[in-house]
Amino acid sequence: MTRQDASRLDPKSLAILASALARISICMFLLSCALLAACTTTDVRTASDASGAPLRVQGSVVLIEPDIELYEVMTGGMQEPRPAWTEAARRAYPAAVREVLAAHGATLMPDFVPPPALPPTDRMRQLLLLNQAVASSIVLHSGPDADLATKHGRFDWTLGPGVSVLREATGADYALFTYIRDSYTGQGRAAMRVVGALLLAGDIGGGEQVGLASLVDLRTGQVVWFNLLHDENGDLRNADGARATVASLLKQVPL
Amino acid sequence: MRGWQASILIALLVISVARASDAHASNDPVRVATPGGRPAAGSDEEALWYAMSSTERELQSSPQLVRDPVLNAYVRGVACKVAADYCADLRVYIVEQPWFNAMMAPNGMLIVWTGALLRMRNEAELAFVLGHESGHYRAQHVLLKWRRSKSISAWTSAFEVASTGLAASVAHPIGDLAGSAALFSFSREEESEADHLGFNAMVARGYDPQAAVDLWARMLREENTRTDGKPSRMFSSHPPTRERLDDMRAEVTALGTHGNDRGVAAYRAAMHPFLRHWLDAEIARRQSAASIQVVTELLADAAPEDKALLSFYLGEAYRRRGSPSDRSEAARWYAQAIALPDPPVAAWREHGMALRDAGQRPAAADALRRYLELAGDAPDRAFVEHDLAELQEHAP
Repeated sequence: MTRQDASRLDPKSLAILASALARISICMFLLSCALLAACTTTDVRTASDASGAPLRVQGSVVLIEPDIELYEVMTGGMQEPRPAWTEAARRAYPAAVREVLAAHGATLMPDFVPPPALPPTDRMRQLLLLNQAVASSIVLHSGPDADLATKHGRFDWTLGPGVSVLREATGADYALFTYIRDSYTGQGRAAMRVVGALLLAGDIGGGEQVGLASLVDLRTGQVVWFNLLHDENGDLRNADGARATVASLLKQVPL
Repeated sequence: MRGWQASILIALLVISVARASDAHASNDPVRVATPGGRPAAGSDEEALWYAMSSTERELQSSPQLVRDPVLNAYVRGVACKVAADYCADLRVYIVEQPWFNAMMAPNGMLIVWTGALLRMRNEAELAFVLGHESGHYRAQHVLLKWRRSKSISAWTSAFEVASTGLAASVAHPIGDLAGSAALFSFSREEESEADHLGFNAMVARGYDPQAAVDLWARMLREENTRTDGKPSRMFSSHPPTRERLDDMRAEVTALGTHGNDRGVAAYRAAMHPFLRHWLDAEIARRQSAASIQVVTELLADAAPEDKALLSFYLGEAYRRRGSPSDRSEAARWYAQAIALPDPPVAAWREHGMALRDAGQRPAAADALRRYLELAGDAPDRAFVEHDLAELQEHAP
């Protein structure tokens, strides 16, 4: 049908815009990386206690159902979802996380999958949305010159006491949240990259992996640890690749 | 070879490499649509359905989803009439948004905005709109659009390679954004095809086809209230409303005999409980010229029991625009609202304020007193009491 000014307040467009803003900020953060071939970067933040010492994890950890989507980069750079790859990654990633955390000696609770189709005002749904908002804010305000003045340079973020719903549902002391978007170069894009390299001696870009992970204390709501990963070689579609991604993503987790 | 010739040759080479390599080119045939049909495993259509199903799950938990069972049953019933065999493939969602819009996702998620329901007059118009949307589904327009976007995007990329390689990595998120937002805007041919399918579906169910003409004529009149270079750039690839109106007129003429069912009473009864809420949202768009046009026409076509409500909101639309002549127009409509049966309570307050501004203090005080009598514990009670006290203080 016709649309009259539909774009401005359309919730879908807003969501797309918000995610684009987040991605642009990630892009800016990674600009230095973009000029190098196939690099991996992480940006680890750990909260401190009152005396300034980094916090340590004390208690059990639950992996919250990770938000993972895998795509193929089409010739022109558009991304097409790949459900089969995504399904494989959603199996491989939690298995790898359990391996890594167990190796650190962490006490693990059974993985938590939020109930589907929660009503809009449900406390659990609100908490999961709040976590997304806080994670986006951490990314937006973690680059140089992007720090919030009120934070005074400290890593100081919290989801508030509402986390108790998650503590009650899981019995865990800490929740590990994950967001990963992973894309792989299709044949057309690979050809385009070769042409780009030949003509310009530069890289027009192909697949890439962007991951966010955070550990939240379910007794207080405090975000005790956070990492932003960017990797041009990561591959979540198999167990080995998932292990490598988890090793980078859970780097310096304070266990 | 000159530089520009070399660039074009390189660009063409890049495009041909790209077109040969993508799994689904824009000219691949789509599957033959059948009721209950599903995408082939591993196809780009399956990928689109997958992406849409997660959007649909989000929508199901959205606070903007209208969940009223009676309204949903009514709109779904009309959708099923026109979608016929495809009824079971469609899931209808009514979304709280005050603009005229309806969308058809490739997986059968059909979205109608409340602003569209406000702007329609009868079931025949709704049947046309829903028939149009189910036409998009049947003709798999989103899939065609996606394949076209992929190849358009290949052009863009070729341009980037030929001009500046560095731009590609930075431009990527923006290109993606534009692509996603444009997914539901179809080509002129596709919109015309959907109009045609919607028109035929509506006629087949015995609805009066003149409703399609009435709807587009009304949308054209609203579009003409825009002063900022119309239509909006985002949707400029749509056939202009004028052209679609002419097409519908031609279809009606070509039809000869046809049904004359409009379903005015059923439509009004279904929409009546939401009218006030949707009018509030309409006024809150802050596009007063369009709102004045929309509400003026709603008032002209309204059932007697809705006239007071619509008169009040027409007053509100004029008051929001707020030029000196608008203020006197607003006063006129508030006065009409309170003279009709069953006006909204707020009409007494606004009528009182308008009288006060016109210097008619005793009448203004009467109107505000009436408001306070009727308003119960309205949140603005203390303000109105204050205004009333001022009026009485300065009374002669």
